[in-house]
Amino acid sequence: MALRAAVAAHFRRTEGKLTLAVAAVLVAAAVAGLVGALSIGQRADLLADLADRRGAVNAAAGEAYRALADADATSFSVVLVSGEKVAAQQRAFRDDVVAAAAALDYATKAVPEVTPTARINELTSQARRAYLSTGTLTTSERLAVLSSLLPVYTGLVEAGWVYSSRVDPVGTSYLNEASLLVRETMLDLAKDLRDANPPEGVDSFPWFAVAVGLAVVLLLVGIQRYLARRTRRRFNIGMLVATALTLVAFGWLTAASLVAATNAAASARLSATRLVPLTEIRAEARNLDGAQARALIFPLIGDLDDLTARTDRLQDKLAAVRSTPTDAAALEITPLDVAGLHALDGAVVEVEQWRGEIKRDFSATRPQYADVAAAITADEELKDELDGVIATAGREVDQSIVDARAALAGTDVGVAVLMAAAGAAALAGLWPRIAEYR
Amino acid sequence: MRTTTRLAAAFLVLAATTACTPASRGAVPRPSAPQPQPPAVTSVAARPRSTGCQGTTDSLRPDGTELVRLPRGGVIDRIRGRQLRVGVSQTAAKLSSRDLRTGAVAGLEADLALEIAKAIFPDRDPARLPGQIQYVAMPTRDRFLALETDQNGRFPPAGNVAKVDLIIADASVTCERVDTFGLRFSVPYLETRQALLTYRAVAGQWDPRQGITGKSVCSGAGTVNLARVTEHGGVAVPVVDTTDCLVQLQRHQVDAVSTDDVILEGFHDQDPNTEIYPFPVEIKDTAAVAVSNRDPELTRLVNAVLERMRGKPMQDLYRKWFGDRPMVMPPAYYEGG
Repeated sequence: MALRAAVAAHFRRTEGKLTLAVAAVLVAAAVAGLVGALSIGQRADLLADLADRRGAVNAAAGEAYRALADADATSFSVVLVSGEKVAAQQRAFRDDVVAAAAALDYATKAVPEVTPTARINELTSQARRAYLSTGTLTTSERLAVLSSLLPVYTGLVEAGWVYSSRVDPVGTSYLNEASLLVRETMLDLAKDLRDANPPEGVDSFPWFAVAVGLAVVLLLVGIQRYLARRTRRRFNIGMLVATALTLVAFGWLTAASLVAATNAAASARLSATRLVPLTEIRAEARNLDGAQARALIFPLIGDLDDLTARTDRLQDKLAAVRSTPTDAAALEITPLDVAGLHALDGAVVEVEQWRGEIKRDFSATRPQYADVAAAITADEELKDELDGVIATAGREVDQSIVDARAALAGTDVGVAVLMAAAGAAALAGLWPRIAEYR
Repeated sequence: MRTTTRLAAAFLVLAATTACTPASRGAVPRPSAPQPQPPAVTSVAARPRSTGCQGTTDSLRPDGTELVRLPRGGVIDRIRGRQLRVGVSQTAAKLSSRDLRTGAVAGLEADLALEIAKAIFPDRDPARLPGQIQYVAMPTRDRFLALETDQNGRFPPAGNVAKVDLIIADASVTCERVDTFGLRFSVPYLETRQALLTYRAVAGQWDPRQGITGKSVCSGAGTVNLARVTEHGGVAVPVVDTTDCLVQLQRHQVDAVSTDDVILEGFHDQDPNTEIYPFPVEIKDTAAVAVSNRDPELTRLVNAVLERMRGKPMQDLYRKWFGDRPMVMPPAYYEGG
C-alpha cells in the first residue's frame, strides 16, 4: 500500500509526469515505426504476390491458352495438308503440347497447394467433366485437371492422325472428340486460370498507418505544449526534431504507398483492358481456325452460327481494345503506340475478311474442298498482327509492377529508423527537463 | 490444483510444439487417366416425332430410263447452273469415306452420286464430272435437316445445316422420316440387316446371338437402329455420328455397336479385332436416296438412274465395294402401283 502511494505521489509531480511523457513517446514511436514498417511490408508482399505468384500463373495461363488453341487448329491442319507439310504441322502440334505442359509446370511451381488424388479423380470423372468449365475450382485444381487431360487429348489426336493417314473414317471421330475436349473444357480451364484483379489492398490508401502517424504527431505536440507551460521554454529542440522526423517518416510512407498503389492499379487496368483481351483474341483466332477446319472435315448443326458468333466476338473485343487509346488518359494507362494501332487496324480488317470467307463457305458459291482447306491451313490468323502488341502490353504491365515495387524499396526500414530516431530525439529533449526536477 | 496446473502446462507445451512443427507435405498425387467422352447428343435428336404416318414411302415413277434428253425443270435447272450438292456420311467406309487431304469421296454411294451427276450433266465431259459434285458431310443425327423442305423450314436448327440437293447416306426408308422431314425417298438401292459389332474375345463370355439384354449398345442418334436396341432389352447409347460408336467400342465404353451390316463391315475393316454378329432378331431395312418433296423432278431423275442400273451395273457396283457378299437391289414401289 505504501509503495503504491509513493508511486502515485511520484507521478503527480512534474518530474513523474515528464517521465510518463517520455515513456508514452517511446512506446508511440515504437508502435508507429512498427505499424509503418508492417504497412509497407504488407503492400510489398502483395506486390511480390502480384509479380511472382499471380504473375507466374497469369503468364503461364496465357501461354497454356495460346498453346492449346494453336494445338487444336494444328491437329486438323495435319490431315488437311500433304507432303512435307504433314511433318511440319505434326511437329508444330507437339511443340504446342509441350509448351502447354511446360506452362502448367511453371504455374504449378508458383502454387504451393497440392490437389489430392481423390479430388483430381472426382473432377475428371465422366459425371463432372461436363461442368468443369463452369465450376468453381481453385488454381491448384485447375492446373491438376489440365495436366490430367493433356495426355488424353494428345492420345486422341495422335490416334486420329494414324487412322486418317490410312483414310479410315474413324480418324475423323477421334479428331473431333479431341477438339471438343480442348474447346469445351481445357481452353475454358486455362482461360480462367488467369486472375487479372490486383490483390485486395495493394492499390488502397494506407489509412491506418497514416492515422497512427498523425496520432504520434499530436502526442508530440501535446507534450510540447505541456512542457512549454511547465518550463516556460517555448520550444524543446528534441521534441521539435522528433515531430519533424515523424512527419518525414509518414510523409515518405504516404508518398511511397500512393506511388505503388497508382502503379499497381495501372498495371491491373492495363492487364484487364489490353493484355488479357489481346491474349484472348489471339487464342480465339486460332480457335476459330480449328473450328473452321473441323466444320469442313466434320460439319455439325449450328456451324455457321457458331463460326459467325466467334468472328463477332473477335470484332467486339478488338473494338474494345482499339477504343482504349481514347480512354487511356482517364484510365491512367499508357496509350497504344502507332505501331500498336496499325496492328489492331490490320487485325480488324482481317477478321472482317474472315467473316466474309466463312459466309461464302456456307453459301451456294462455296469453293472446292481443297481450296477451303488450303485457305484454312495457309497461316496462323492474327499472329503477325497481335504478337508484337501483346509482347509490348506484357512488358508494360510488368514494368508497372516493377515501378510499384521500386517505390516501396527501403521505405519500411526507413520508416522504422526514422521513428527510432524520433524516439531518441524526444528522449534527448525531455531528459534534461526531468533532470532539472530531481 | 497442481494436477490442473500440470495439465495446463502440458497443453501449452503441446500447442507450442504443434504450432512450431512445419506441416508435412501432401502425398504425390497419382490420379487415374480421365476417360475420353464422345460428343454429347443434344436437343436435335429430341425433336418431337409425328404420330401416325401421313406420307408415303412409295416413290415417283420415272418418265423413262433412257436419259438421252437434256433434263429440264425446277431444281435440275438450278443444279445445272452450279453443282450437284450431295449429302454423304463421309465416315462410312465402303459407302462413302472422304480422303481428308484431297476431299475426294469414295464408296458405293459416291459412285451412285457420280451416276446421278452423269444424268444431270449429260452434255459435260465425263472425266470432269467429279468436279460437278459437291459432297457435304452429314453426321448421322443431322442429315435429313440438310434438305430444304417445309417441315425443316419450321425447325430453326435446320437453318444452320448446309443445304444439299440429295442425301445418299445409307438412309433407311421409313414413313416417319417422310412425315417429320418432308422428304421423298427414291427407289431403294441397298438392302441391309441390322447387326451387332463387338470384340472377338467377347464370344466366350457373351454370345451376342442370344440377346443384348442389359448390354450397352451404341447407335447413331435419330436412327431406326437405336429404338430397336431398347426394344430388345439393350441399353441404347446414342452418338451424334455412328462412327463415334467404333471409338466407344475401341475404348470398351460400350459392349457392342448396332447398325446396318454394310456399315459394320466398314468398321470391321478399320478394326479387324472386331467381329460382326447378327442382331438377335433379323430386321431388314432398305436404303434409298432422300430428296426434298419440293423436287419431284429430281426424285424421278434419281429413280431413272437407279432403274437403269438395276441388274448387272448394280451388281458390279456391289462387287466393287463389298466383294463376294451376296447383295440384291430391293424391288421398287411407285405411287399409283
